[in-house]
Amino acid sequence: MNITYNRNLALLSIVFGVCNLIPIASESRWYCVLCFAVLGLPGILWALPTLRKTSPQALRALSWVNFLSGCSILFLALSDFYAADGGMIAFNFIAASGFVLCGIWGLYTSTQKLGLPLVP
Amino acid sequence: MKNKRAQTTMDHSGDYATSAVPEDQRKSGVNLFVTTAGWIICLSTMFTGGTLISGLSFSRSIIAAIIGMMILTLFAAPLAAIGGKFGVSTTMLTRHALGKTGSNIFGIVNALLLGIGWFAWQAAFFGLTLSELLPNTFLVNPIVGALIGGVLMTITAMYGYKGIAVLSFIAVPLIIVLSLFGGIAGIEQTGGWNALLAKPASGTEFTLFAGITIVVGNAASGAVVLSDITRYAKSAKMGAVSAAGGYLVGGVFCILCGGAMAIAVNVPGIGTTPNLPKVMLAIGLGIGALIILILAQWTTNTANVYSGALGVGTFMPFRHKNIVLVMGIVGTILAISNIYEYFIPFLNILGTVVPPIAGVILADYYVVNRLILKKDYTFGPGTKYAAFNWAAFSGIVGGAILATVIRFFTPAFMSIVYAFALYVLLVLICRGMRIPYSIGTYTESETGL
Repeated sequence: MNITYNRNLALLSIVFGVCNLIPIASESRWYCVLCFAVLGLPGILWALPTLRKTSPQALRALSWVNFLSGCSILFLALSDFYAADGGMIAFNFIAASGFVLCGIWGLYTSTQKLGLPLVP
Repeated sequence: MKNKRAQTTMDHSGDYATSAVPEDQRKSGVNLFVTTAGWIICLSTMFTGGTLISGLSFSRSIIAAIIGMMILTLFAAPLAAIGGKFGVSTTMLTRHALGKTGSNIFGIVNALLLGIGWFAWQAAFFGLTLSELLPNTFLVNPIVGALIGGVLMTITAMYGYKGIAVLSFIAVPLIIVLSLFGGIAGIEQTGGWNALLAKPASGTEFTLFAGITIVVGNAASGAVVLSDITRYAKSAKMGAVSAAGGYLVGGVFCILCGGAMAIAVNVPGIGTTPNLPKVMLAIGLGIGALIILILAQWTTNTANVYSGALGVGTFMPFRHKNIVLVMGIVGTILAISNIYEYFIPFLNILGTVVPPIAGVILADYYVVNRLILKKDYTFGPGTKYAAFNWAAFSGIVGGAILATVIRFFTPAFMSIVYAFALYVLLVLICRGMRIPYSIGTYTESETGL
């Protein structure tokens, strides 16, 4: 059962992480490139080992990473300094909302269905 | 150090105010580190970064921040280790150092200072921050912001350690990430890392020593009650490491980001303090600035009322959440009515006597008990404490007076050093002359009260 939860969340994390990296393609400002990479990569890098893990703790850990990455992406995408150029900002918003929703779902599942405390 | 916790179960307070935290309720290293960092990372620490760059170059500000936080770690880590070893709150620890009556006095002072006084001040400041950041909304009236802040902070503290831990798990990573990118924005707007390092002081220059003094003075008082959090550590070592990590990682990082942001934009300060909300807005952080400012104040003030209520719970038979609720209501009323301003001189006086208590706790445990008396602390029903330790109180009062009279380094830190030395000296003299340095005996009851 857990493997399904973990795999689903990990796959979604990879998708949303990649989504946040897409604006890098058209970005010339080094600090924005850094911002998109730093906030998109943790979801991907944390998801890769989670694909094989079955523990509810792994689900909760990835959920926290997703939730916090999503919030950070959202707040910085809304700022003047780190907003992506033109339509590319849509990818940031998709990634942010996806990460936040995945995070909330994962935390809800790990606490309510799998009986873990909210924080490790 | 091996764990030597009191063998008591859940106490009357519902948050282990008078007993040790049971083994199965203790938290992981990650949990402790994040919660301790949430306690240490506060708005005033970020403001310290802005103050540093007004008198030092950025490179010298880095040195001042690192040395200052290392000095704080020197006394905060051993203090946190005692909390981690025995699993009891700071007020419970003072039962050995100050005696039962002395511990009650500390509980009252802590409640007035942290639980009500600074809570009210921080809640009012929270309202001012929101009105500054959101001038075109209903939050332009600082009373509304102070009320919202007071309610949020009180509710979080009512959930006890669990509430603080969950809040810290959200707040600490967000503050770190947003501050990091705020700092990067600062670097970019200054003209790059090398330009930032070479940037001279933005105001009247002061020495590196003065910079270190500012860093230590800003955070010395908060370290006194760190055991209220580290009592949830699985061992003394974990308590010490989480405190050291909180100061050396969280503290230094916060100061440097605050400094990097303040240096980048020229926003008029409030006296020698930078107007950090305006700085963050000017730098282009937008809603990120709002999030940093809200979360940093929320975590700190929740910890204030939590710690204040924990002290009261050691001598009053009420539930912790009820004590928090009463303190939160009183503090919020003081904040929204602006009455708290009249208490600031009183709070400043109390603020000078709290830091030396850390010196006395450290001296009592590590020197008097471990080295001189060759014994260890015990807690739990049947434990005998002195009713009043006059040598400890003399050390505290003497330490506070000496630190005020002798103007060297920062009074908050020096009062700890003076109190430590005075207390050890008094105990040695009393033992040499066979004079008792404590009065009466108190035996801990089943309830711990």
